[in-house]
Amino acid sequence: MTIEQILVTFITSAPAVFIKAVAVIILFLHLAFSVVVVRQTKLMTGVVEANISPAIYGIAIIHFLFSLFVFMWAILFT
Amino acid sequence: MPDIFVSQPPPTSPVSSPADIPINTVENPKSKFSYLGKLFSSYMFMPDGVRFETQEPGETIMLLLRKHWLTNIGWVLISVVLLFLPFILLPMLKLSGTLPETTPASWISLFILAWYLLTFSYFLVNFLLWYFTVSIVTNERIVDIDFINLLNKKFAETRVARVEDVTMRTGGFIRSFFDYGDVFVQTAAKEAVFQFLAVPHPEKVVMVINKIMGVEEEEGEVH
Repeated sequence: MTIEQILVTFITSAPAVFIKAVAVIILFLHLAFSVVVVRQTKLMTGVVEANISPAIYGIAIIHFLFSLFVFMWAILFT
Repeated sequence: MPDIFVSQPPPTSPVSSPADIPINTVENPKSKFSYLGKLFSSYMFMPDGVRFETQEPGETIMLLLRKHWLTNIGWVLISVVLLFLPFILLPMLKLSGTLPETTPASWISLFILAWYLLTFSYFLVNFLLWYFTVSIVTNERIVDIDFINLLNKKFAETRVARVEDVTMRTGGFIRSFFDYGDVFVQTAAKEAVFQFLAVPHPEKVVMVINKIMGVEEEEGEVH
């Protein structure tokens, strides 16, 4: 049985599981991206420091938490 | 007896320090709105509370420049469209029958959440790239910090004494109307040309750099 055949069997027999798996993988990649955003924002605020820098860093953290929330939602509630 | 001849007052002395440069277009904040406007301004003359990574002791930021706010209009509009699109898209999909009636509510919720997450990411990344890509003119140096993307940064600097020529370019209706354009700083440094692209008030930027160059030359002659 080739990989293609396995995939086709998997998609046709359990489409919901397949969609969930794809969603979780994409959201996991996005979660990794949001970690990079937080890290880079910290570096950027170090390069140019302003009064608003902590707020911008805070927004990056909110973005990460939102990404984590959606990732957990995909795992737990779908 | 009326005066026949009144001598003209002596000409004002040339600029002796960067603090004498009388170009200040940033008004003092009078309201919360103008305070926010100042925080996100693209043209800041002697900004308060701003520092950069390699700033030396005694070095004063004279100008902090970003791209004009109008250059952000593309991604801001796209973000606004993305914000409202689910309100149009989901009912349309339901009406057309593309989205089956049996679709679980949890899947629709996930779609909406993921959509807004991606919209948030798109907005945040574009904002960060705009906000942190700055050109800084201090009383001693010209610094250009370019964030090409989130992971790539380009940093270039030169001493004001090494600046040879400063030119500006503006053209077209929109640039003329909103008073923004490109400033090119020709130097004898490794980075031959510093480009401040789409910055507000390019004429004032050239004037400030020229005045700082004048001060530097005077200081050089004194020493």
